[in-house]
Amino acid sequence: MQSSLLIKDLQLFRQKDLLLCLNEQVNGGEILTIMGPSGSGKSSLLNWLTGTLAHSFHASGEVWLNGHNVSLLPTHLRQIGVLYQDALLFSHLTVGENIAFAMPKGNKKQRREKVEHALEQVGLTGLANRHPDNLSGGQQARVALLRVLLSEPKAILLDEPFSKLDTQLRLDIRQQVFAQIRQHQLPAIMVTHDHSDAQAANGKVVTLNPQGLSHAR
Amino acid sequence: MDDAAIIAKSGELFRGSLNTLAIGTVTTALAIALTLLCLESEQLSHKPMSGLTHLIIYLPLLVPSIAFLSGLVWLQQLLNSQSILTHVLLSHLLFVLPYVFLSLASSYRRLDPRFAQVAASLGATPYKVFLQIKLPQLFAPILIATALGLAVSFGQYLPTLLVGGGRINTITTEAVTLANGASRRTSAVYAIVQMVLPLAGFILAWLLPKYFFKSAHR
Repeated sequence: MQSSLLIKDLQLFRQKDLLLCLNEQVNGGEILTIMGPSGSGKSSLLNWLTGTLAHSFHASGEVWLNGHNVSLLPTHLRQIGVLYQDALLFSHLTVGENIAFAMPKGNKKQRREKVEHALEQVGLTGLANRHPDNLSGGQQARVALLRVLLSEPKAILLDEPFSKLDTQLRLDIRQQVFAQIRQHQLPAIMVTHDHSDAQAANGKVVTLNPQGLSHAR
Repeated sequence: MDDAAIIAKSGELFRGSLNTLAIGTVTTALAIALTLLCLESEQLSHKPMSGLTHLIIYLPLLVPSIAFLSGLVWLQQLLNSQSILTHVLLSHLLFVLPYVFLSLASSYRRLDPRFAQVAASLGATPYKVFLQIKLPQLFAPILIATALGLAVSFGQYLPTLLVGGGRINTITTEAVTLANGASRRTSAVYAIVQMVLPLAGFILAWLLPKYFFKSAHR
């Protein structure tokens, strides 16, 4: 069965004001881009999808992931991974431990080999025992990507994940992230300010405006 | 002083230190656990703690202790329990808890909530997030709160004396008793021990984060 993320009749409110309405389906390997000014509810949309919506907001609607309604599940059971603009690596763990943090339990040696292999794939060979604070921004972003992927999520959300990287790095990391999403056939939703991100995602683009309506382009 | 007297004195000093350490450790451990559970439940339920709860926690800091110690002793007699140690521990907890809470609350609430969100979106249960993300990241503040709690407990005089009925001796109660006595040398030894115990706590709180759960920022 093809994996898919379905947003059904979402209505998102801030206090009593309607922020946005959305009805979308994202299939595995596709990237839906959400654009819009600050305050249009982009981040709240992602928070709603992961189940961490702030209390000043409320929403109606359902999230379906691969044919299951996950709207009422707590965050840790939803299997929706998130990449933020900061890598948010856990600074008390090494790079390898960060990546292994959410890996399914199993043989210790196999896990370590898997981490090494994943690091090799993104050009970070041999950094498993390093401390995340000693890595460059681009390296941190790649470690964060691996951490999400090896937790084996069923969908991925990208919250302006490239906005803190400089131009050349941005292209590299973006290309790596999108390639991994397509390779794993994950449905992905990306929130961004940058039109080049939207073009590179090569998928449907939804633009939010402050009045809370959304149009597809 | 002959040898026998010195041995007797050092025995007292040793017992006093041991009592002080035991009471301090148990009280502080209880205070840290209570504080962490309070703060974690506050974050999980997304409901800020009410003003009344804060008032109850901080009340022992606001009201002079002599004002409610007699009430505490009265309550203890009402309960008619024989376990004096438990009563002393609880009375210490009353004074240690507000300091521990005060010192931990701000760092706990300041911790970037996105770390917990990332961990949860990676599939970590709230239990795992608490134990493997929040506690290690708050290792240094927890140690400082522990050292502070120990120092506060070490310094308690009236609660130990009144609630313990004079039957539990700590370094502090002994030091006050000896201050009236003839031997200035013995007093000096007690004063030094009284100073060294809290200092050791703070030195550990300063050193340990350099070796455990370290991050390059610290």
